[in-house]
Amino acid sequence: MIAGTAAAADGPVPIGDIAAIFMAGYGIYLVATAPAPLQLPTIFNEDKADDAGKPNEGNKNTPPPTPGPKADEPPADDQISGSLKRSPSYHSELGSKTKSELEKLAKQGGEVGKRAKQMLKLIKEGTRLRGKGNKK
Amino acid sequence: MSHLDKVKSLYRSEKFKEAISFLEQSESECLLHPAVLVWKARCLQLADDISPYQLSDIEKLLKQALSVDSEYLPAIVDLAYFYLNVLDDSKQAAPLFREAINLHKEAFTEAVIGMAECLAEESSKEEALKFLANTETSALDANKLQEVKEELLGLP
Repeated sequence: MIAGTAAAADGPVPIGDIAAIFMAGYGIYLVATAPAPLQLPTIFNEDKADDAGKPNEGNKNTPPPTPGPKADEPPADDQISGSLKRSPSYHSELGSKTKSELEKLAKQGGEVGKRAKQMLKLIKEGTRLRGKGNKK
Repeated sequence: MSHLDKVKSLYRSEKFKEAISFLEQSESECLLHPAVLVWKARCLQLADDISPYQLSDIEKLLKQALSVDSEYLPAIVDLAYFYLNVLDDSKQAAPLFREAINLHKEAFTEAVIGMAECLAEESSKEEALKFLANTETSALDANKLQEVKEELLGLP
């Protein structure tokens, strides 16, 4: 395992420390049981991680009303996958807002604006990752 | 069809759960190329139901890919975006993006120089110089950069 890996004991480790040698297009990789040299910072801590397997409920306070959504614009909940809803950046009280509504809230600043910005980042990440499937 | 081709095909069809199952099968056969780990991390981020996995497994998979190949660009970039967009932690993301840019710059420069040398040999030095001049302006996706610029200008 890599030193500093987050939440090491929070669930099954799907890919074990299996010793394996395999060929790649540009070299031979050795996956060994020895500690890996890469030291990346740990991200999950008690403040940020909501990793108990349930979607992050966020703050239940009702957000301020925003102007009506553009026609046919889906709500954030339809654009954020189930797994990304477990992110500490997901705020269920904003799940019904559309992207343009969230953009307006984000511009207003404050705590709600910060949450709206986090929701926009989750939408953006889903879009970015889905785009990967369109490349050959 | 290679293992990764099949994964990508399932991914394109948004069959993320099936892709994860297929990747688990690949893992049992010890096919631990970093790309396998990166694609699994992507599937986990897009699937609606990822039990028994946790959100933290996504970070683990990307770090594991980097433990196999610390210069594997897709793993560096995906981990950086995971920090930036999923965990809202730009401080963790920035060094990784910087590393990715440096690695890409080195590889891209080498490829561009090689291509220019090919053009000079196969065509003419004018063609090679034209290619170099065009590359400087068209190396990045101008449309995407424009979108980001407009987004930044719209910020309060």
